[in-house]
Amino acid sequence: MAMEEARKSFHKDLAEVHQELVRISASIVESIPRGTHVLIEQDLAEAERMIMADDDIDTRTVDIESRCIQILALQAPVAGELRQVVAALKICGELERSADLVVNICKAARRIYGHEFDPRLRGLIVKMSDQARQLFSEATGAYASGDAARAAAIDDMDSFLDDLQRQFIQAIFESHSSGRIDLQVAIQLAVVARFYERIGDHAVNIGEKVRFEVSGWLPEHSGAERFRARQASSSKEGSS
Amino acid sequence: MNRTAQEKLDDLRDETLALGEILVDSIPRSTKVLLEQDMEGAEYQILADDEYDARTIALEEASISLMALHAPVASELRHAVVVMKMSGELERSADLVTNLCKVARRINGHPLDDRLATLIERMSNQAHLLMKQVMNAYANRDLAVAKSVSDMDVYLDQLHKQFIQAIFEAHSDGKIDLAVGIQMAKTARFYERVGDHAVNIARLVEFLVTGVLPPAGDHHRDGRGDLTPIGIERPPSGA
Repeated sequence: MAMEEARKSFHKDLAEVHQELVRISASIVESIPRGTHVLIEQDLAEAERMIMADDDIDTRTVDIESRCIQILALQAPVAGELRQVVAALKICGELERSADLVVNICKAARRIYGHEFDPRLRGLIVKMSDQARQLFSEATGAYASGDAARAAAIDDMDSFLDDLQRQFIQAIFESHSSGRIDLQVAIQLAVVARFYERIGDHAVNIGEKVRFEVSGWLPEHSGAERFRARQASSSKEGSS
Repeated sequence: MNRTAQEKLDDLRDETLALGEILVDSIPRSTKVLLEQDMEGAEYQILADDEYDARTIALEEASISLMALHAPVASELRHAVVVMKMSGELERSADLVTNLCKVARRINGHPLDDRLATLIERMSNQAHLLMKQVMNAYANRDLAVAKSVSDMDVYLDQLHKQFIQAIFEAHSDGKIDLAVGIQMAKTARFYERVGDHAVNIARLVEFLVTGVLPPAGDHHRDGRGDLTPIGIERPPSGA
């Protein structure tokens, strides 16, 4: 009976960790367009609110990490349940860093306050933001529903964001050389582009954790496969 | 097959340290590839990264299976969790270092001006120092060294800012073209992110030694809230 009770609370713990991570992840999805609004509209009050709110995310992710380690210590899960805890532990870090990146967008907005930048750059920022939001939304959905197929698609979506980022960097250089933005603004915007790109990378990483949780698949497998294939072919050559 | 969890953990530790050493060495080597546009060196590092991936994945799997088979507690559990997380940090750091070699290929034939080259070297030295320090902190379970890493990273962040500015200036002076400028902006980012990974590892070392998981993320801010040790010992409440 006691065993059964412990199992029940274990499943409850796992479910709560999962739900809390989904909630945090969903709040990041929502924060991406808000951060972009701060940047485009130069909304300093909203910037301040968002920067303060990040402390809360930091605390919550550390709580979840601690809780996962507790679960490992007390329940010693195996197989699929162990993978759930491991995936949760890793997703914590991804969420925490993604939230920081949104905050960094708000901080960049403060630094360039009062400096205009042209509509083409604004347009590209909105596009990068939309794409980053969509990627994160997919990652959140895939994790919420344990959908490995949906998770696997995120990597391909991310290459679109990488393309946008390249386009944006080029646009910054052009705006700068034609004198429409000054050096400092150009530097800040180049850094902002990187923030969106990295949010996309984190979404891809979350997708990978979902695939691991569902099937035990690990992303480094592709490089590892290439290595094994080379090893196999070179040992064949050696023996023949 | 009767090996104890402690013996297996020792193996994981040795492999983590070996992988750390390879990573630390690869930073100046890849910088040299970039600055000297050494295409053979680039090829070597890019191929070597596949083996590195294979080893980090094996390390990660070994740490997870150790948790599954031995259900370690207290400091052994902490160590298994730390190895599991560190394998990912090492793997991504090695990818970033490999990216430097990919940049070397893309800008092959376009010389860099001296100021950019000097700054690249300084970023590389700092990233190398950070990674070396944090791996030493792990090897010796040295809390003081681990805690110094995030401050050392501030220096790397400053170099990164300086470098971005230097790229824009080199571009407006017509010393580098747009495409090279973009590749340089990426290069700076790679070093900076290697530094971030070192800071993440430092946090894991702190956790390993103290049992307290320090807040991640904005590591330049002061710690907030009271951190209670993670009760590997007892369940939180439940009573």
